[in-house]
Amino acid sequence: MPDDEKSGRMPKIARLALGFAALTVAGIAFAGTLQAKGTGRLFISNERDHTVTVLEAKTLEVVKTIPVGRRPRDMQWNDDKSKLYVAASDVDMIQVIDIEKLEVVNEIFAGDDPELFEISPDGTTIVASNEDEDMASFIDIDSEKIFRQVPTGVEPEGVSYTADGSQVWVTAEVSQVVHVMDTATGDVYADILVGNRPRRAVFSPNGKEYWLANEISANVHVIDTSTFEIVGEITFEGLKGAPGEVSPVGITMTGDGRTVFVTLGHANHLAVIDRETRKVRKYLLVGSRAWNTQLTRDNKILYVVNSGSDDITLIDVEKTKVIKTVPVGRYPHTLRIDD
Amino acid sequence: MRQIVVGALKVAFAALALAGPSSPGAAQDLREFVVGYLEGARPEEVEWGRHPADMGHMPDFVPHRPVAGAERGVNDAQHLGRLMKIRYVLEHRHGAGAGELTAALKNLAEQRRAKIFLIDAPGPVVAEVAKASAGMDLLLFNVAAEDGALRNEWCQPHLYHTIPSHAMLMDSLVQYLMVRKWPRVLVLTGPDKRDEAVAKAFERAAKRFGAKIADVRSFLLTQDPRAREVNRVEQLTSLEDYDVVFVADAHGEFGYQIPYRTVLPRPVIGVTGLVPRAWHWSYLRHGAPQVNSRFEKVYDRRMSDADWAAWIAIKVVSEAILRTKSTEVADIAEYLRDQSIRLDGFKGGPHSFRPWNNQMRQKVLLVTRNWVVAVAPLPAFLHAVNALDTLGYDERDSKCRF
Repeated sequence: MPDDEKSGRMPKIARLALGFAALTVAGIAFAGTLQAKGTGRLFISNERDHTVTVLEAKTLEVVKTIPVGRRPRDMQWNDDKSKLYVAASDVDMIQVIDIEKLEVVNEIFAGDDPELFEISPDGTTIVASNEDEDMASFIDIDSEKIFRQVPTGVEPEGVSYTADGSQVWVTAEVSQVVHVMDTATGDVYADILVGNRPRRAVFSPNGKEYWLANEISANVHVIDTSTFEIVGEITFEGLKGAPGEVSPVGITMTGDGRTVFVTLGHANHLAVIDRETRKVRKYLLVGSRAWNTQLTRDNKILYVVNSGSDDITLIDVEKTKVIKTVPVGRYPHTLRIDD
Repeated sequence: MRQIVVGALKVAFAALALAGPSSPGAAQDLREFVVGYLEGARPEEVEWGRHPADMGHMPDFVPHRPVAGAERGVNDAQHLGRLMKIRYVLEHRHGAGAGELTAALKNLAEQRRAKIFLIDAPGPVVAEVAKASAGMDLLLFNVAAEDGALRNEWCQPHLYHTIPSHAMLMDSLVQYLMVRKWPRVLVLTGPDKRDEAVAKAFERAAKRFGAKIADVRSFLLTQDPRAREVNRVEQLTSLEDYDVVFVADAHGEFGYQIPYRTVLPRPVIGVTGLVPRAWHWSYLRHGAPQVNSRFEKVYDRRMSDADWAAWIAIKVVSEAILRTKSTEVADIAEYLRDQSIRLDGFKGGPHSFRPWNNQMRQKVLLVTRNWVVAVAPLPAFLHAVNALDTLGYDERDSKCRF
């Protein structure tokens, strides 16, 4: 790792080859080695600074602050993590950061006010929610063109591709629905009425459940992905003495599908939920207005982005304990890891 | 209370997905659902405007009617009308007084089967229209009148208020003074009936939260040199000591002249300086910028308190229709009575309606001309049931009897 930090990234082909070898020869036992291929650096978008902060993984020191377009929010990797896509909402662009140069090298028009987006599992398409325009924009990455716009409810937000890439699920905050879209045609299969202000969501690793955070309803819904019905609801009455309203926004699931992490926003806490029993196992105090979350590839550390206190909190996943909190830029939004 | 929340939500979410391909926004096979918008005559004093210099040159200073907020509400609701196979239609009607507005209401109810009405008119007119429509199968939402009496003596079971009352606004302001430890207030009030109502609401709030009224003085908007006692800021604000000057002035023209002209260097609040508002363009939290931005894109002006109140009224109704899967008045009213509903007003915290007077519980923004300084209720003010009920008429103060 320290060597990687000095020498920069290993060439792409070498990384892929090593990754392949590790997987075939030693299988899952080598997952640690596989994840060490990246620099491990953390990339954090700062909504009000119009920058992306790059932190060294171990020292958590700033490597670089990359200027980007106004109001950077969601970020996603391309498949080999040589590029990081950043939604610059106020300039209607998804910008591309080159990870070796650590600078913006390209930008793609993404419709009005892109907020969250995901890249299709085959790496060809970006689907972005256009918050101000009530649309989901489908963008062809090669030609950098929007090839389809699907009307959504008011203020679309969370975008989640199914693992097979056949569907994309989009939440609409004001309209309180989740749209299930056919990615081949753009048809809406179903409009699922959910809680008040649905924000972000995640599919379980087996693809059978869609876990959704409803900010104003202050709950999480579990939706059966075959029937589109709500089959479970998690509430947070157990949290006592929170400084503000419980407002679930960010949601992440561990790779084994056993644990779900939900940030509770203004309540300044993170809920750790057992997926099977759908019970909250623990509440951890994090920063103010805790929103987005990101797990390391080895699932050992969870990063919580605190947009109200301009910092990030590191959680030891196994011990379910806070390790520390580190300052970043103003109104941090999303954190991604080069691992 | 929390237990109720869980139970009710489970029931509400029991039947959910409407499967099958559909194209959003398709208008075919949608039944018309009419929302009536009743607009009373603009009160003379509002017609006069804020300041003569601004009237001619800054059209944005001319107060706009909140029908724009209602239009946005219908537009937002439309997206999901298809879930209920209905198409929302806003019917805008004008009327000089309560008689004409009542006639318009009856006409829409009979001819277009309208069941939901918004009313933008002075308090007494709202009261008359509400009285005249009592017993009809409809709900009436007051989106502009802040009068306390509408929430008390003039209340009606089918009359709802999405705009806060004077009492809610003044309670918010006084909570802030108490937190800042600025409890001694010089009250200046104009001759308008509404100034008197606002000043009374302020004095009520002062009593509730322990602020002290240093003096109450009346002003007059005149240049008459013989009336200098009541028209000169220097004279009016000459007093041994006070922490703030509170001004009740519906016209605004006199109140706007007071800051920086007080004898003592003290903040001015109420009509200018720090003002309690239902909504403000400068609020950056809780998704408010998105609501403001969508509004400003269409109307090229700021979204006002009443715009917000009209928008949220339609949002609440469309949500009730979605959740109850019914467009019947009784079902919508029952949904609004449910104390576990969590309505999203985009200013933090879930909103709901007070069952004792149909006032929407909500946060109040304390704003300067370009910034939200604080949001009430302030954290220090607690309530046994709901902190939002520290603002305005709580159940035990209510003179409303349905």
